[in-house]
Amino acid sequence: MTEEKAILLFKCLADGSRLQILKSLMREDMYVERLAERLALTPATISFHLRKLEAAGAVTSRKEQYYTVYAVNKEVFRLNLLDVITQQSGDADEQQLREAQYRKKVLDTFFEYGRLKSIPAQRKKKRICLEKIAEDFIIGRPYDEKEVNEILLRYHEDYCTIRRDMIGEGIFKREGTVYTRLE
Amino acid sequence: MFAARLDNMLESLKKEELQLIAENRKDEAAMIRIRANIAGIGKTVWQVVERTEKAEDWKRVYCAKMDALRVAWQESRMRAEKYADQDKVLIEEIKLDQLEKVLDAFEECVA
Repeated sequence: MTEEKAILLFKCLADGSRLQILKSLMREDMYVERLAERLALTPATISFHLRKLEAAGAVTSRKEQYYTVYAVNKEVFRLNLLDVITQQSGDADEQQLREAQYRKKVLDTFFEYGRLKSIPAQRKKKRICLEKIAEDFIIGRPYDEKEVNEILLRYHEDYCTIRRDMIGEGIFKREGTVYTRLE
Repeated sequence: MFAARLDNMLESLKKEELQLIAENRKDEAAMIRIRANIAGIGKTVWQVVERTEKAEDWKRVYCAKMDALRVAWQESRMRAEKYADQDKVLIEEIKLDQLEKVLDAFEECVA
């Protein structure tokens, strides 16, 4: 198990209700309403916790007739803690991981449901957002301005600023009204 | 009387939040905090209405302002449902549920 996955699992388990859910599931696999009844929590709260547990790999789910039934993922709990703490993390790996986490944080902050909520003021954050939008363009392929505007409009109404900033950041190049995404 | 009722609501929610934190149930404590924020909004809006409106308009104006909040949060919930953002759906449902509790208290006190 990677350090990142281990941290995610430990964070997920550091919750009284989630531990109770796991204890209940150790007795038998259950669906949401059954867990809600047993633990005196609302089904919505149980579903919230199960989403966290599933994302951390602590539980699995399967469809049974009308219900989604949850079960403990016992493989994850056979994890040897000594293996996690003796695992060496390379400096390069750590650096990459930090950058990836920072990038994810920026994207989570500035994007909602695939649209840019606002154009970041800080250059580093703006560049991350522009790079994300640029993924919709094929590298090297020429796009006319109308096409570029249509794609950018999917992300934010101020497509002019985004288009201008893409060029300023060296993500696009412009020749007349033809734009090309650079590598 | 309504303000006092909201103060009781806030106190009760605060106790519940602290209890959940003590039980290491931080996510559920955060949900109670959301409820407390909504009760706090209900109180603030009431204080503004009391201060700026004529007494005969209090009920109408307060309900209109709270209704505007309800509409905004319903729209937010719909968008979250559309994009399958289940955590956001839960938050908006908590807000809407607490808003109804605030309005029920209002009806009892001011009707």
